[in-house]
Amino acid sequence: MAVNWLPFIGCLSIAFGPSVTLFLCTAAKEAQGVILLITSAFFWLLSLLLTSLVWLAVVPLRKHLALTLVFSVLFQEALRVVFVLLVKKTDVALSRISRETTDLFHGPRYSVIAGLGYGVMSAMFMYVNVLSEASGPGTYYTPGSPSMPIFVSGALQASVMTGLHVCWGLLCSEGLEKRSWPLLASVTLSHMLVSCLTLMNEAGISPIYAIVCSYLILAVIGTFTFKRFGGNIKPFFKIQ
Amino acid sequence: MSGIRMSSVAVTAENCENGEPQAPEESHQGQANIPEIVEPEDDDAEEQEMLKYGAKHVMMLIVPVSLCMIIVIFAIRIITMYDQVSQPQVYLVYTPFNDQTKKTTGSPISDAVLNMLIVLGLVIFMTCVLVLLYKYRCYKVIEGWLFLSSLILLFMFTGLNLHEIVMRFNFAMDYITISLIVWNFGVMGIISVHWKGPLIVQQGYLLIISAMMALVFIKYLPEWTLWFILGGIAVYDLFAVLCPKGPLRILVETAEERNEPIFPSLIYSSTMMWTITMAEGDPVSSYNPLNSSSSSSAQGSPPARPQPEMEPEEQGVKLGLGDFIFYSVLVGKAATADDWNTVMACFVAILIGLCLTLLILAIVKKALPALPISIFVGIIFYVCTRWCIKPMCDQMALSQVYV
Repeated sequence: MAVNWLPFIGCLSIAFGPSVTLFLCTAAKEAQGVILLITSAFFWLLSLLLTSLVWLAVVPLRKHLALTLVFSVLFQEALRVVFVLLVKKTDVALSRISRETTDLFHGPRYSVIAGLGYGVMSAMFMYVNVLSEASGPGTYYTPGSPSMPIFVSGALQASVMTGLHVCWGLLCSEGLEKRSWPLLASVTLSHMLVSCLTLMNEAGISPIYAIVCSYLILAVIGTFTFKRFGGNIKPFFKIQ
Repeated sequence: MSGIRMSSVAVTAENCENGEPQAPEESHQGQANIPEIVEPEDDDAEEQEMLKYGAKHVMMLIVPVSLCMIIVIFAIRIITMYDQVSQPQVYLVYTPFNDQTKKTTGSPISDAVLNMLIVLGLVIFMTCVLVLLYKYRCYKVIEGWLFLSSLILLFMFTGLNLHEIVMRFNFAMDYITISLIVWNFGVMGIISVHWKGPLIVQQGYLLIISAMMALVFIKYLPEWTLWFILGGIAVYDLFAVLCPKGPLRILVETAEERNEPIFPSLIYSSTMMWTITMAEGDPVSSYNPLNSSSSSSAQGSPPARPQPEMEPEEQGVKLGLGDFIFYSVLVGKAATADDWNTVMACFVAILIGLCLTLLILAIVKKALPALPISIFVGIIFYVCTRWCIKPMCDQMALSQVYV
């Protein structure tokens, strides 16, 4: 048993380390951040519920994950838009009552938190059941990769999904604010693309390809988001 | 109520700054006399005050509620006693209709309904006894009752759980050490809950007591009965707190009239009880205790039915221990199913329900039942996750497809 705790902790850190760090840097500082995080996690849960209802209702779908996946992505993005609009509406209502501009749910920080809630919830739903097996005896492999256990590939995939969701959350709220439809479409399309990449796992291709591609996409989207929000890389290299 | 009073103070301060002192009542009722401009400002002050306190208070409850649920989840996953059904299962005497005794009515549902009625009747009876005792000022009796029940929980169940943990990890420990640990732990709990102690220690013990109570329910109630009791308690909670003649409402009102706090061993408070009383100048409307009560009967049986109460004000929010217990029961029951998705869904659902309740609380500003919204959202998500989401997620996890 003792031996298996090591891979367990390792996978846990890969999958949720980045999100915990991000959580501590953004949401944990103030109460409304945590509330926003929980609400956005709840919205992701709602989208999953809608997907599963469709999955359950349309019997032929149960055999084809690819179709379920399309529905799921559409529901997720639709509910993300609903959530962003809802938060905006709350914000407007709040700033109307108080003349001082409340920064209650305003600014990129809250979009990061909203995206984080989405990402963490999706990573947990997809990965925690797998991870809970990691502490037990034995290990699993997907047909495509006899060398990389499912725990490790899943952890990498879960963490990249969290990162992507943070970027998508930022881009989505930016797109809605600026009424930029291409931006919204690109969010949905890239989400679809990343999810479809993981279909390779099902097809028996090594998960390494899907993971590498996802990380490349994260790098591209991350850079784009960073630029879009006027991020400046110099402070990172400045010697304090 | 203090919520309203607090905002009036803010309003007065605001007006004074503008050189237009107004009586707070006027700004609310005699709107015609007030310049138009002042009006929105009053709202401002009020709203801002409310928002700031609101979010903070939601957090003050979310953290302990989450902690309590996490304790229960891990206890269930670690201590195998709680999710084993192998040995002849023992149930509480209050649920006579089950498959172990031969007294079954034939269908698990009708058994469960009958059991629920018995347990609920017991809860109502106990609450009424407590309210009557409180009304006729038999404080000593109530104190003794609560003391006894926390004594049993803190000593007997701590010992029991410790025993199971030691067995689970195959860790040798002699009885002397165990009794020393249990004694120290229990005595400190009794002192901090019933007498005084640092706030954080008191809160910690209240959480542990709630978690142990929840574990007792999960272990010793038949499955269907447990679900019916959860639903029944939530509905009962609604009536007990909101009906004009509801027992908990009477309890809260009496306590308010007497201007004294309700027993600390029944309520989780985010601030120290005594500070509240001292800090408030105005004796009448100052303290709003909330209702809660949980009676516990001996044997750690299904006693506690507590209620929720909370008030968002500067003095802090309060939540009945019963709410902690039943939230944890729901999540803990989900944890016995060996599926983390269900647990996480219930967890998030309950927190969302709690946030909603607190939102309503901020609007209506009176003691509210905390169980109904959370428990129903929780049950809905339990059912949906178990039968819709889980099969789909299992399939996805099996083929490693991420959405």
